[in-house]
Amino acid sequence: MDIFLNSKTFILALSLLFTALAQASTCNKVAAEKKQLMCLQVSVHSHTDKALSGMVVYLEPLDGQVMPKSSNTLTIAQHAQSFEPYLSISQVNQQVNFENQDDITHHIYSAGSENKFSFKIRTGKTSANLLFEKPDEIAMGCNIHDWMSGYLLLLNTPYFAKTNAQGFADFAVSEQGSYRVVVWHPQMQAANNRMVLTKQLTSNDKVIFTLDKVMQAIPKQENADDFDFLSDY
Amino acid sequence: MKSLQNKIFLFFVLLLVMVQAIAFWTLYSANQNQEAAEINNRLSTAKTIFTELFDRRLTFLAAFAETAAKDYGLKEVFDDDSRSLLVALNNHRKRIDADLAMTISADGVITGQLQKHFADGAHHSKIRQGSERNTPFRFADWLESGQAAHLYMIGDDLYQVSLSPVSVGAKTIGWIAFGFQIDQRLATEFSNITGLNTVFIINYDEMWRLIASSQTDADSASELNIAQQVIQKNTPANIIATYSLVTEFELQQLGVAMYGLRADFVALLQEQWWRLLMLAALTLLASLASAYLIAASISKPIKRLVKQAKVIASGDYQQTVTLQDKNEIGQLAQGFNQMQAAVLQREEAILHSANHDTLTDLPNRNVLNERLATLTAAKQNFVLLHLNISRLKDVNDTLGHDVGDEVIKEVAARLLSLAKVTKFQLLVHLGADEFVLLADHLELDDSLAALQAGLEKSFDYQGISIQLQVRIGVALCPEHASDAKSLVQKADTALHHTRSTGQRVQIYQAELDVNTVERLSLINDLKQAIPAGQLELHFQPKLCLKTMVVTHAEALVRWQHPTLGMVPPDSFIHIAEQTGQIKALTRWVFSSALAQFKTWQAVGIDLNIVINVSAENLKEPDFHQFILDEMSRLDVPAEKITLEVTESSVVEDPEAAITLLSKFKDCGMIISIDDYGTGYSSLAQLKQLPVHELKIDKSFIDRLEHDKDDQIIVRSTIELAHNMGLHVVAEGIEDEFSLNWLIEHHCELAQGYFISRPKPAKELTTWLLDNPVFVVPNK
Repeated sequence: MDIFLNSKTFILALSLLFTALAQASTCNKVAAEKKQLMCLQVSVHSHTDKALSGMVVYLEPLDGQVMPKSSNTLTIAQHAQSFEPYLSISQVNQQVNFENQDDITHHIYSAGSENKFSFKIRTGKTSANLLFEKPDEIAMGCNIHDWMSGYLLLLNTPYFAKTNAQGFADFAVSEQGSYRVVVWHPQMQAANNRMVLTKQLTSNDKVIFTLDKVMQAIPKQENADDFDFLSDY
Repeated sequence: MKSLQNKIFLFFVLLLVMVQAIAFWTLYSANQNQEAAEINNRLSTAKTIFTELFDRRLTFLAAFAETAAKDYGLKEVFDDDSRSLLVALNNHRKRIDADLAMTISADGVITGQLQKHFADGAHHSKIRQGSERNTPFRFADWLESGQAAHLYMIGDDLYQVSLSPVSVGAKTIGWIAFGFQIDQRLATEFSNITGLNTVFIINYDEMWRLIASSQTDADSASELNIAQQVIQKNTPANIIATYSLVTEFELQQLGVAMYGLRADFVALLQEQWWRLLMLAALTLLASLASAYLIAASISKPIKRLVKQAKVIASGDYQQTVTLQDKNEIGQLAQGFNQMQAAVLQREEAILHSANHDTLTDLPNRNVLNERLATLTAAKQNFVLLHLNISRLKDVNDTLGHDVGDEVIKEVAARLLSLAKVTKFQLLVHLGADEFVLLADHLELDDSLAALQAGLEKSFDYQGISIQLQVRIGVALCPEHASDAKSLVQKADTALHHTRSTGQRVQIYQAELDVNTVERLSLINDLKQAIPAGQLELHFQPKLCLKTMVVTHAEALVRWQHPTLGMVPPDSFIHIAEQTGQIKALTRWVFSSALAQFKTWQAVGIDLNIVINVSAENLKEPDFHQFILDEMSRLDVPAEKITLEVTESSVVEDPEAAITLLSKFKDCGMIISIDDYGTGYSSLAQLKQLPVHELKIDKSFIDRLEHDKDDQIIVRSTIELAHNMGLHVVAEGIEDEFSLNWLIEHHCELAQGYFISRPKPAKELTTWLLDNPVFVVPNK
């Protein structure tokens, strides 16, 4: 299992790396193609000034800039009794699919937020598409597998990304104006788990966030009890 | 108090009390230890129970809070409207009947708070919303720390609280808390379990406050005080206590004091103790009673023995001790009986020897006195014969006392055999040579004849023939006396008389009595005789047979007793010798006689004065000097004095006598041996004696006419004396024949009634002047 996990993590990291590279190249490429596009590179550093990956970064328009609507469907998988990915980000009114990839029923629920939901997904099923209308930060759990923990961040903006391995998140922004740049992570020790910065974006720009405190440990979505029969179900 | 029984009893009592005391002390100390151990045990148990119970409540709360926090239903409504949340919260609360339930939102605000309130008593409770709703939770750090158990105060109510986070996945959306109140119910519960009063107090703001006490009716101030003392380890002596402290944080501390009155706790032990004490007292009593019985059972037979011993001591030997016991006491009783028999036997022997003469085994004076008392009391007529063996002293002196005893025994045997055949009532041996016979009145003559006949035959002892002669004094009852004492005295008097008369038998006559009457009073009166001038000297002349002229005069003392009249010298000289008055008497005689000598010389009568010297005088150390002094004082020449000394007085201590007499002889006095022929003096002694003359005893002279033997003796004596160069004096001349016979045989001097009786000096002076030469009176 360890080997499996390690290899999985490795693959994940690799894929993220490629994605980031692709995005970065995409941003510059797009910016190059369309002269009016501006490239904002956000880098997130830990309090020890090391690049932090997997941090959610998003931009919110402050001057009423018109944001493009994303029509992508977000898939939150339940795989090996864990939410995958741990952090899922979606624009409001975007399709969100819960996909049970395990051979066991999950009872996904959210509590403590405006967008409460609760449903069971039998093995191999995809839940009905959910559509969230309000921006929110939804903590999710499984009523059956206590240790499962995941977050769904619903935003009013299509500009969101997770930092890559080098701690970068690149945004190709079409509209000039003032933006709120937010770095969020549930384990970030800051007010509302986020850092906020207002940026007047007119040209390509860079923003660097440096955390004040150490990141809390990202919960391992593993059964704390040391018995593995569950994996067989 | 010193009786054996008391001693044994006392000993037992001491022993028992000691044993009981030791047992009691052991029990007492064991009890004390047990008490201490039990108290300790009790207290530590109570403390353990408290800690256990208290922790278990927390564990229970924590487990429950954790479980409740995972409840999906709760999570679903956690951020919802308060009513749904409160209902869900209360549902959980009810499951464990918690006194407090709270929800705290993620931002630390109390979103729901349910408190159980007791309206009346512990049975009716109501759940109400707490006052802290919508206020921030006061202890934000509790939320962060993850520590579940806490002490939480709302107002004056104190709760044990457990917090548990409510999370969705990894996200904590709030906290849920459940609590049990620390109140009187808990105190009572502990109290019921441990049996100790339980008090909860809390310290905050640096001050202790009372939370609850198991004693509902107790004064809260005093409860607080006691709890505080216990926690400060300052427990009063009358209570036993333990405590436990639960520190929430530095400034808030829960104290639990559990205590009980020592008296209450030890009451059970005390009861046990009392029972023990009672038991001890009872056993002590029983032991004492049995000790008393044992002591009594030991001493009872001893008491009987003591009583018996007293009976025996009083002389009653008829009762015997009968004890059935086979033990030592029984043996002692047997010993007593044996001893009693032995004592009886010995007493009889003593009685026998007391009533019988040891030599002859005849009844003695005691028996005589008894018998006489009986007879005189019965006014019987009888005769008392007082027998005296003649010359027993001579037998003793010559043949020895053994022979004398044989003679006495022989006489006793003969008298006894006579007593059997004749009608003697009693034969008594008074001692030595004296016997008494009691005979019938009418047969006196027969009796006397039988006696004389029975004793007539001589007694042969180892070839020596001894003549047994008795002299008898007779007294008749009631003619002579009617009481025992005087009867014996009278027989004695009669017997005495035989000595002077030489008769064999003398029947008492009143006139015999003079000599012996009030002999005792004479002893006293004699002391007064010399100073009172009651003594006077008579003189008996001695006739020189050659010249028929009186040449000597023997001074003889006479006592003119004021009441008894003239007392003869035989009666008092002997007394004077025995009572030591002879010294003064002789000196008086000596001085008076010399004075008379001077008187006679003044009238021309020249006589040699003869003075009797007693054996006692010869023992006086200053007698010689006195004589010399008197002679020189009165100017009397020594050759005019003759000292008459009896044979026997010289015999006692011959050497001293010879020395003294030699001194007298040397100064010119004439020494004469008086009563010669009665003293058994040896010729050898006679040879040594410094004497001038012998005085032949009158017993040889008075029957000179009829007794040829006496003639031989006197003649031989005269010849012997003459051959030894001694003069001879004969005394007791009572007839002319004797006088002539003595003249014929050349006796030098003669003295006797035939010549002259002893006469007072004046009378003799006249007589001498009338008869310058003695002429035989005409018949």
